[in-house]
Amino acid sequence: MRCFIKYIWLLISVFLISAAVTVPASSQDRVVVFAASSMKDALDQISALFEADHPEIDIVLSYASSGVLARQIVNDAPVDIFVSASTDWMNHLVEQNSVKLNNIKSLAENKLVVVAPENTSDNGDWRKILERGRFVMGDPSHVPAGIYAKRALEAQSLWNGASQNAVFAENIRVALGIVEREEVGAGILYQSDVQLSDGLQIIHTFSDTDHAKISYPVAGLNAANDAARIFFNYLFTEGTQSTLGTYGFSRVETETSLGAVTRPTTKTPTPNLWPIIFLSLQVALVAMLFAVPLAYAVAFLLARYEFRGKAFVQALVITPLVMPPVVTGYLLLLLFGNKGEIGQLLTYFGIEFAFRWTGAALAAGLMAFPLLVRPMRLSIEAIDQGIVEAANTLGADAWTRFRTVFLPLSLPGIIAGAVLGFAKSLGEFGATITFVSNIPDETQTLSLAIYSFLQSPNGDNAALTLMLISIAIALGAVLLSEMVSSRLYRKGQM
Amino acid sequence: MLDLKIEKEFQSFKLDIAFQSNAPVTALFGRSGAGKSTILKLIAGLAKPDRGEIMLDDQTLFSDASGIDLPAHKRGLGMVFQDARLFPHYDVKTNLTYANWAGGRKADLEFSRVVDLLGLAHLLKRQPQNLSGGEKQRVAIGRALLSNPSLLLLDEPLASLDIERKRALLPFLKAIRDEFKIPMVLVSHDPMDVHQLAEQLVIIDEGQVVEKGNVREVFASHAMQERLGERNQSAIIEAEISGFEPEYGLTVFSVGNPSSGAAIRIHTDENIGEGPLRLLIHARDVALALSKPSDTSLQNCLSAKVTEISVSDNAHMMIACDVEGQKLFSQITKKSFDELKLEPGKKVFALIKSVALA
Repeated sequence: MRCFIKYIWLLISVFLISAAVTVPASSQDRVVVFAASSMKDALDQISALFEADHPEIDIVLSYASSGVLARQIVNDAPVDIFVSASTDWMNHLVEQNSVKLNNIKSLAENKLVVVAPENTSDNGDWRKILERGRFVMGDPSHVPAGIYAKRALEAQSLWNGASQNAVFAENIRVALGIVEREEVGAGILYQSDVQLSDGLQIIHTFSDTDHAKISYPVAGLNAANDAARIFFNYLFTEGTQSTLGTYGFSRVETETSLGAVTRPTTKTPTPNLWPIIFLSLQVALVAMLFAVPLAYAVAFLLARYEFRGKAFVQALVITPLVMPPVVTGYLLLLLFGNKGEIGQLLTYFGIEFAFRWTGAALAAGLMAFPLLVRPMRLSIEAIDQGIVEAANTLGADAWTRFRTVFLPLSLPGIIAGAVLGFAKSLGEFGATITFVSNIPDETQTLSLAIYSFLQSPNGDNAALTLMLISIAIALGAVLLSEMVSSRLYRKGQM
Repeated sequence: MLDLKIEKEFQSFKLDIAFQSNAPVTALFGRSGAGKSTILKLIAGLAKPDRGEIMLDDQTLFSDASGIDLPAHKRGLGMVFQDARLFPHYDVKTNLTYANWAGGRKADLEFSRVVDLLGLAHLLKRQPQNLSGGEKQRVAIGRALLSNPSLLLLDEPLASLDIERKRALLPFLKAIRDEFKIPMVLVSHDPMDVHQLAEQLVIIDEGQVVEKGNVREVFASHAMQERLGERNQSAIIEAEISGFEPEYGLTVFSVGNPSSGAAIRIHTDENIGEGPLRLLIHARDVALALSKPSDTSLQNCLSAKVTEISVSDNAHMMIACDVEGQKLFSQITKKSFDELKLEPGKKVFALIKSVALA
């Protein structure tokens, strides 16, 4: 028996040692590339072509927004090549000494365009379209395309007239999706995004003079990796450049000078955080105002009645808790968006959710729903049926029994649920950003604002302040509920 | 007048009950699990019979034939549960007036009168969890009374209390019976409660009525004696106050026709009330003699006639006697039985050691 255990140990050791040895061995031919999401389609094809030519080299691609990737690189992410959609973030890396200036080259350029659905009736003046109806663009606080778009609109003296119509998208792919689904009448996108999309027409192309040149700088970060150098050089071959062209990117004519570029966003003054806090509280309060009564009704139904399909209702109530928030948010967009079944119906009654704070409240309420129902249900189930019977014999009809017995006796559960739900509403992120995007003063709640500030190179302070505020609000809410319920207990209400 | 005839089937047994009563207090007596509490729930409307009819005076509370099923809150009945069931989130006063402010019932009885009678004045501001068991039960009784009930249903209101508290609460129930004249249906498994409060007695066993009628007659029945158990076999004798012997603190009760001279003397409180009273006499407290003993401390000696003889256990016999038309039981040893040569029809004297007053 002992011999057997020894044998097992030996096997495990051999396995571990061989694993440790093989990983670095193979990594010599691995090139880790961090790239901006807008380059995804083009780079996927380019790396496939490259790997066909160089079977010994494995290209590992990781896509995210330039800001997220840059922050990871500053924090020593093991990466060989970084393709940024923004010269700003590349500059940030230079400042942080993560990249040497002479290791950077411009890979491609892009154009900023105004697009509209092909069947749009008003295909005349793009200015009027932007001034009259909603359109989507990247969030100018941190999405590069949004920053360019804002500058272009300012250059064309349109920003003041059109900015209130703008829906700010989290990234340019989301913006593309929104205009493709015709949730809005137009969008300001990159030419490369429109290239592969059906059903959209370009109604205007901004000139480079309207905004800084849109350049995709690429940086080599690991001089020691020979394979990385091979891939870096491959990016500038004629073949690769023409592939980029088919994806709507333009060739680099003059190298954009890095380091000397004035940044469009670095001069942001300390933002006013109060509107964000008020908006968050407003969204959370309104969400609770509607969700608490509904959740109580569901909790009451589940606690007091047996009916067909009860298990299904129970499962449905819990679903938002276990489903990916992005799924919930996207379902909301499909149903309650301006083109959604329910959304269209509600528009007749003047209720609009898409890209409105009301939509943020809807998303928050839905995500908080399971947290509301559970304590309420438990507190209703804890009520002695005997007391209900006593009330019944004393002349109380069903409504009176509800009012005088169920409601006051389940109050601690209602408070506990409401506080939990309120805190959840303040912190809701995934479903909200998917459903109503991240629009300052409209849908940008605390957690979305924190996320946005973290996206820009100099948003750390604002993000930290908001983090502390949200911690304070959450803690305060829980303390408040503890106080209320302990007072109820002391008064002998339970 | 309560008139019910109901059936309801459960998994383990079937309830099939019919009785009428217009007595001030009707007691449902039987072992626990016999279905007594279920009957109260069916009357109150907290459960629904499968078949049958429940009438209270001219009002149909339930009738499957005419499709009537008055909801509980519209039946106008008061119910007192074994476990008080006060509202934990309201103080005593708010509990007492619940039927008023929540149930929309106007109380005929004055609030202060009920509070005084039940001794609740000093408790009004308390929360239920700060009350003793007896206090809780008094509040529950008061709450039911103040709901202006046309019938009061009491589901073992004393069962959860210890003997002391029970003794303290019984007078309240008697006072309600005598002062407020609200008819009651009392569920109990304790013969003491039954004999002290009830005029009408219904014995329930396994969902069926075993015996029903006047409490004295039903008490004397085999069915009742069987359920009382050997140590508690007893009889109820109806008697009337015929005089006092204040120098001894005794009250004289005449049994049957006052001219017969059959009398029982017992020590009582001064204010004992009027009219016919019921005396509970245990079989083990009754001795028999063939001639009237003259030199004994026992004051209470009634002439009787042996009517029935049965074996009580392997050492004792149960002798049923007739005293002025009422039944009295005596438990004597087999040896005494043999020596006295008792047989039905034989004249004897019943010597009574102890009497409980209803």
